[in-house]
Amino acid sequence: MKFEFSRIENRGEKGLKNDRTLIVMLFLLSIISLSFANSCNVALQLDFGGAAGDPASVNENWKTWSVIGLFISSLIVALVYMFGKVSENVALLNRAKTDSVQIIATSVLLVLFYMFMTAACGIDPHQFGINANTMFDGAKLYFEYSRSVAFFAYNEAVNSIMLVSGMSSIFTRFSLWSYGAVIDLSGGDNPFVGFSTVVGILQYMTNMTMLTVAMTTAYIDIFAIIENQLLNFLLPAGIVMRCFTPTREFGGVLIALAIGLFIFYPLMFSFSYMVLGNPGPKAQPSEAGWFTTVNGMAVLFASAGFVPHMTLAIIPMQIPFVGGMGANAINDAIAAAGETLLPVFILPAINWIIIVAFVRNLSKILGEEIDISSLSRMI
Amino acid sequence: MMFRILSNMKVGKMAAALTLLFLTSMTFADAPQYFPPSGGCQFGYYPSGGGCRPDIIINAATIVMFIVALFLAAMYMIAKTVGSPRLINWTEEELYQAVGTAVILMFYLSSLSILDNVVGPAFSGSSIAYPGEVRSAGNFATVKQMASSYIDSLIGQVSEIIGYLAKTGLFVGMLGTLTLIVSISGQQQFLPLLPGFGALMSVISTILSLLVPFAMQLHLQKAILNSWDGLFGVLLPLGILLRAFPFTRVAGGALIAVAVGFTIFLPLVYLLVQDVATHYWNTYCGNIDLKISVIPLDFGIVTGSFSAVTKVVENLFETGPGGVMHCVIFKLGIEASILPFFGFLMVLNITRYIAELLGANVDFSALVRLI
Repeated sequence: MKFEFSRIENRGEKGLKNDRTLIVMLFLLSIISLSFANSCNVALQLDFGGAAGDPASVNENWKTWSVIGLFISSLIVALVYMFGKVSENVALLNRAKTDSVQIIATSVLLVLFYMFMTAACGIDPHQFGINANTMFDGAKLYFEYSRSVAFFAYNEAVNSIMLVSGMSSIFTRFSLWSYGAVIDLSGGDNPFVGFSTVVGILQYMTNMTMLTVAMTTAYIDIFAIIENQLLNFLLPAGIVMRCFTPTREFGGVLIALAIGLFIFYPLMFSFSYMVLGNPGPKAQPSEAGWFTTVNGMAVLFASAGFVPHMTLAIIPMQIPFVGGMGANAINDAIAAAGETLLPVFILPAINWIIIVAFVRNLSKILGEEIDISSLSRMI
Repeated sequence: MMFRILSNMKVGKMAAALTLLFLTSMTFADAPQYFPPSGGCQFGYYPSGGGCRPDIIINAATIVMFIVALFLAAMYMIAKTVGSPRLINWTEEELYQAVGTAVILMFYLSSLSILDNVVGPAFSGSSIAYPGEVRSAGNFATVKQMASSYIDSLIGQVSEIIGYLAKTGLFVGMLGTLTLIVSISGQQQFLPLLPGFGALMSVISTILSLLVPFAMQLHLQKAILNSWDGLFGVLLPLGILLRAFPFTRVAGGALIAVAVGFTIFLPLVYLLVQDVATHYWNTYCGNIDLKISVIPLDFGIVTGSFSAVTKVVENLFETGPGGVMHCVIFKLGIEASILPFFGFLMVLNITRYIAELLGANVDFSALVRLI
């Protein structure tokens, strides 16, 4: 059918009786959005398989694979239709007609998604207070920050362990009284051995902070997969599956997963980065503090041995000072470990809930509702 | 009178009441004083009394709300122009949803304004739980600032307690390893003077191990409270934006609910926790002694040390009012953990209820499982 723009005007207030005009408008919008694609970096960056800025390298490109998938699906449906015609099988013909409608619907979905991505890549996150060029960059900054916080906590705990272990291993011996070379009365003490009480706690914190480091690494890996691989695998597969009746619902689930994770994973973490106030990576603590302190204390006790009874005077003086220093080290380690909880555990957990809610909602619209709770139980 | 005017204008009573609430809350906008800002105020905040305070009228959430309304109005206009009944119906439905979001936003901003301008100044000097009792004065006016200040002081007290226990362990360890070495013609005998204190060290170690997770989660509470600005300035507008579209409505509702729950109800919870805990602490632990007196080491070391440690241990394990262990259990177990835990439970329940009102279902049990 030849489409005429004047038909829209001629209809006046009666309006269109079907949504054909809407489809035509969407098609026009998609053409307009495609014409802007060359100026949008993110749209180009979506060609993950190709060399940077070279849209010709499309062997792993999600757009190419999606279009190929649609062509293959169309071919299969055409073949089914042909067989239906040849064999005069009404059921087969109806099936082919239904599937061809679904192919059109899926194409529209793909165009809409591409339009959305083109529009989204035109948004400058700086305008929303994120110090990044894209939402993906914002998420990367978040992960960079959370990993630095996790490493900071780990380094703090390790430094504290070094300090208290070093202090608790100091042994001092002092002369008390002697009778020539025959009788010698002396004393010995581990003045700071009491710090061994906190070594176990610090080790526990080190284990926990290593877990946080591992968690952030896992988030970054998941992010890299979502950014580079997920769309290329899941979306084309979902598009092909959605075109055929037996696999339509599962295809919808795959499309929902691909789109939901691709859009929402970086988006949510970018916004989490904003919630935390756009922090830069945390500077790591110096390692030299404990070494100097422990050696300084050892030198002090060694020197005190030259003066009679000096060690006995030094020990009580050093207990409050070293005790305060150790207490600060423990409290710093606790604070550093506590600071990891929000960026490493809580915010990602909330983000996952939101992402899951979106994916579940989208999958319900596109095909089948994903039973995430059963999935999580299974895991 | 205003109510009557609005009613005569055929505005619904509910709408009139809401508008009045909104307008009334604005009149209190310039009362309190704030901390001086370290830098300029970000968008959605304005300088007041040397500090930055949330702008109730012009903030990211209201701007996003207007943009959403504008977008939907444009969509409705287009739908009318092309005459697509399905598009008209869809846009109408979306406009209804936007109106719902606007009402919720108005409720929220009014509550926030009342909280900052009425509740904060009103209760900055007196206790809610124990009327008449004077709250410790501080340089704050809003409920959020009070809650942050309270958590900071709690962290300081808990650090002091942990420091005390670490020092006690150090003191006991120093005495426990004290050894007399007798050497006669090169033959050495080692005589530990107070060997039994080694067992006490492991007890202190166990106590510290139990307390550290409680201390750690306090920093999480602080971080959650400190993310207030982010929740107000980022999560709420994002929630409004997402709620405008059908595919993302559930996620948007959940975000709005989280923002409302954690910016309004959580600081209020801390206000109550502070009142209850401060009253108890002042009554029973006001005279707690967290200082270690080191005895002079001389030749009377054995008896002197033993009595000194006995005194420290007695003080440490005193579970009655004023005893260190009693106060430590209260401070870390009750004040820093159980009371805020119930508070969080309350806030999460409220958040879930708000999310349900907004058409979203926040599965917090999944959150707990994930954590």
